[in-house]
Order: sequence, then structure tokens, then C-alpha cells
Amino acid sequence: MRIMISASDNNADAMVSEHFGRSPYFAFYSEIQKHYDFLKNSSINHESGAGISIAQLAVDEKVGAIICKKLGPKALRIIQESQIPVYESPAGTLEDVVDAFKKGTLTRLV
Amino acid sequence: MYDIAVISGKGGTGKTLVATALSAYYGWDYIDCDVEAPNGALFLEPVWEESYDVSVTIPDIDQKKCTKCGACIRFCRSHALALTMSGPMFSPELCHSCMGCEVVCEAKAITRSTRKIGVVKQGRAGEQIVWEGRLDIQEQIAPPLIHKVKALSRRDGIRMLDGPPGASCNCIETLKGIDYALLVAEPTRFGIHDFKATVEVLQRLGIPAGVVINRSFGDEEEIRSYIGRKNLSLLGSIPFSESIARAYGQGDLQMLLNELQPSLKEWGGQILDRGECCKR
Repeated sequence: MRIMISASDNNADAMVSEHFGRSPYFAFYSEIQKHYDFLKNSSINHESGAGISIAQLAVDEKVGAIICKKLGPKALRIIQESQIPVYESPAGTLEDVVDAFKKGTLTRLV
Repeated sequence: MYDIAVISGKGGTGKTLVATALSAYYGWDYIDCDVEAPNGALFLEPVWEESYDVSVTIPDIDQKKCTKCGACIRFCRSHALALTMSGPMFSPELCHSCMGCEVVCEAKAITRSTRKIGVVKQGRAGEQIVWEGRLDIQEQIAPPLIHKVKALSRRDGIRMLDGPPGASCNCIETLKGIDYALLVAEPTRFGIHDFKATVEVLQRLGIPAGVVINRSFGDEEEIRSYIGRKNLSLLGSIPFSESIARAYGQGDLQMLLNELQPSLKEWGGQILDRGECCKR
């Protein structure tokens, strides 16, 4: 399974970023390969609908779960409709939250 | 017909102060195009006579006919469409009504529907005609409503359009087809920054403009020299005064008219002189 995490930078020590649609980067963590791929957020400066394009990205990339801090209502609808589980991230680095995810201690938002 | 729009760039510089006082003084039609926050009626206190719902065109997707090919989603630049597991999902508040989705849909699953976004009202304050556009709460796209309030209020005579803040779509929709722009400038850092952006828009659109400086301290070298360099006409200024602020805060039009006399007469005269020489 691949997990999509909103990331403030493009390395495993980066902090989870505050907002899903306006996150500077997205990390795609592969549970099998134990490896991160990073994608720069090209929608970050969209006047509106940034969350929607990122939700669409999550659907297109067929991720198995999303970890983030906050998710807007429009993105949420799309993700709910696509039945992707969303987990709330505590403050911390990508490594921290991936560990927490594996231990099953993250709160499920959707 | 002669249309004068009052715009500013920065919000809160005094558009509504100038637009309500000047239009009331001359008896010009007052059109509130600041549809996200129309407040001219608080001063003019019209009795409303007519109300019109304003709607925009939106796609209606037949999920049974949809083949989930994604063509409409790729076409939509407003991010109003997304493709989920169960089919296309539409976010109406982001739709710009271009209906490109309908054109690109090979399965003919998209037809047209409408959605209300606001209201246009017409009223009368004594002899003066007052119009306002009011966008519904949560709506984001104002230009169709601004277009509608301008279209419905068209008639012979002089109209004063109270514009929205900013220099983007809403401002430009207000400026479309008008004869003269009256800029209300505020001699602060932020005010001057936005003022310059607005002047650039006006010059690109080729609209003649005059300037009133509001909250004037008397020492505004930067803005005055900019006005000179851009060949704008400086109609005058409104002093930074507690009594004007108080009258405005109380929504007291009569007190504002007293405070702003005889400037109103002179500004209106200058605008109309300019209008005469511009008319074909």
C-alpha cells in the first residue's frame, strides 16, 4: 500500500505540513519498499480548488491512505466518495507519523 | 447614457462615501456593484420596489450515461469537476459556467441546469433610483451578478457605479463599457500600492479617470506626483476628519452631504465637463 502524506519538504525528516491542498510537497510512502517518493505541489498557488486537484491526485495515484493535518470540505467530499481513509497527523516528521501509522495509533478522520 | 464607476484598489478607502454622496447630491442613479458587500443602501435608505433572482448555468451530469472517461475533468480549469470512484463529482461554487464539459462529453451525459447565486434589487430613495447586486452567502464568483445589475439598471441618464475593492475580475466587470472612472485614493503605503495597480488596469482598458484623495493629511507628495506622471486629473481631496468619520459611521447621508459640500458640486462638474468632451 502507498500512503500519501502532506509534507513541508522533500525528505523523510521533513515535518508534516499544516494544510493538505496548500502543502509544499507530497510524500508517497511505499509500505512494501519502505521508500518515499516526493512530488512538488503544483497547485499550491491556485486561487481556489487546490484541495480538489490534490484530492484528484490521490484518487489517480490510487493511494491506500492519506495522512494530513487539515483537509478542506471540497477535497474531503472527493476522497470520501473514493473511499480513501484519511488519518489525522500529530505534529512530527514523516518518519514519526509513518511509525505511528504502522503501530495503528493515528486517529482516523474519514 | 453616461456611466461613472467609483473604484479604489484597496478596500475601505472611501468608495461608498464618495459614490453615495456624489450620486445623491446630483440625483444620479446609484448602482451598487460591490456585490460581495453592498452597503450603499445603508446611506441612501431606498424603498425597494423590485427584486430579481440571478442564476448561472451549470452542468447537470447524468451518472447513468457517464462512461467515466475523464474528458470533462481534464477540460475544467476551474477544478469544479473531479473524478471519483463513483463517477464525476461537481463543485458548483467553483464553476465558471463555460460549459466546456458539455462540449467535450462524447457520451452526451452532460446537459445544462441553473443555480441561483444572488439577487438584484431596485428601489427608490426619494427621486433617486438605487440598484444593488447582492451575492448569496458562500458564493465565490461575482462577475455574472455584477454583469446583471449593470444590465438591468441601464437607462438614459447618468449612472454612478459603486465598485468593488481590488483590481481583479470583479473590478474589471464593473469597468466594462463605462465612460469614466473615479478613483478614491488613500495616501497610505498599502493604499498607494493598490492605487497604482488600479491605474494600470484603467490605462490598459483606456478609461479616462479622475482622482479624489480621501483621508488627506495635506502631505501626499508620492501619490500626487504619481497622479501627475500618469496624466490623471486630481479632482480634489477629503480631509482626514473626525466629523466625516463620525457621520459615515452613523450612516448619516445628510451630515455627509453637509460635510462634503461644496466639493461634491465641483467634482461632479469636472466629471461632466470631461464627459461632454469625450462624447462622440
